[in-house]
Amino acid sequence: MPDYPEPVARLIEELKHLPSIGQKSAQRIAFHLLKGSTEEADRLAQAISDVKQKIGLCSTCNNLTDVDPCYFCSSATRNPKQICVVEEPGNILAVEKTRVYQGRYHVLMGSLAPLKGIGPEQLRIKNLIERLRGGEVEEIILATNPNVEGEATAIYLSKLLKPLGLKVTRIGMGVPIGSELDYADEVTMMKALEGRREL
Amino acid sequence: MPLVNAEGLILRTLPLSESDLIAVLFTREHGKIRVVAKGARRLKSRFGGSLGPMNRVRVSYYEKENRELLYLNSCELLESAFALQSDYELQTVCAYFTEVVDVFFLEREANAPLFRLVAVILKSAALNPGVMRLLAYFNFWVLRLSGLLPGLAVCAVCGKGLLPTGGCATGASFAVWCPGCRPQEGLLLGPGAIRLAAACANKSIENLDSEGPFQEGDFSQLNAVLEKWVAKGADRKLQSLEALRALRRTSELTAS
Repeated sequence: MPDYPEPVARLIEELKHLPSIGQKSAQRIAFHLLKGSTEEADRLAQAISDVKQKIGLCSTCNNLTDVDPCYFCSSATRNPKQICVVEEPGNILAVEKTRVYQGRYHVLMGSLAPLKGIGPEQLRIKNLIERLRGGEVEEIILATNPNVEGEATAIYLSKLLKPLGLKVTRIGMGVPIGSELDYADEVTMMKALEGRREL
Repeated sequence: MPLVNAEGLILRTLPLSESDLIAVLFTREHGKIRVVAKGARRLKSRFGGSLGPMNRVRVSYYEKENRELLYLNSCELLESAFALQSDYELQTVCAYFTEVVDVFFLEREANAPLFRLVAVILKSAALNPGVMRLLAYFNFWVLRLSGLLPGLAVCAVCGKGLLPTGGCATGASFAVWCPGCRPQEGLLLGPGAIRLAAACANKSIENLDSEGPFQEGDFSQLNAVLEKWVAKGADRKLQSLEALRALRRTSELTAS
């Protein structure tokens, strides 16, 4: 590797810590920043700094927010009787894109993953239970990822929440729209059949 | 770049770039391998749900020159472990199996007995025989196949048989002592646990009780010792073992 001036080498090293950024991408980004104006670089640095300083977790639902409680928890237009439980704050965007769901959210900040040392204690389950104590919530929609960890988390939560007398539902799983049945494996097809509905 | 075909079990997957995965497989023919599954994280991935942990699959893969990783060409699901791991207790136990196999055995080293062991354990797990039973059988055979298991029938010091008195062991050394030679601090292995170890050596997991039933305490005692030896043999912290212990603190794992 060629020797760069120390500040450039440091920038490349820092950029390499970002997801999906390897040595070459880091070099490209570093040289792009070097070619740009000082104002552009300052704006980027300021934006990163602001995100770290101003963004925190909503004390109610654990979503990323710059005001507490977050937009979803404080909005009068959102249905307080429904809570959609997701693994990460980023998952909320995927649900919001549908423009169908009008309830509130709860972010677990992960899923049960014994190999990563994540058990029930590491997830934000306690404050979900506290939210339900108010008695306002009628339905919990478990929108964890459709993989082993997400499914185990959903089943763990359903065992915990059903005794509270709530309606607990799981998002549908199965064949993605635009694909073909010929290519579906047995688990995907089984889940699609399990989640079938009457037309 | 010839295609290689193999039957294997998915041990775990790791994210790679935006939409790819690295899958760690334990194959019957070529031992543990790491393959890049291109586009596996996409919603319409051609691999579908086949790359879930502990799934039994038939794969074809190829090697690129001067690249350490292999590349997955196709992955056909033979037996899914998705439903099995929907339960957190069984998910944790399966995670323990995968982590131990991953840590204990070298890459690209075929190990047919170990492959058979994991396949048998998974088949048995689907019948829900109790996780302590699965753990005892798995721990016993992993230690035996890796050459770490000491004799569990006689005292390591005086050579006296451990039945009917039972014995004791510590996590610090791979040995079992009789009551007369036992060190000051040790984990008890009652006569039931010694008989259970002999049954693990000689019988299939379904027939462990063929000469009389074992008590939950026998499984607990044997597992306590075997887990310490597995942790010592792994020579690093096993995340899934910590999760198993946490689970044990909050609920009783069942033997039957």
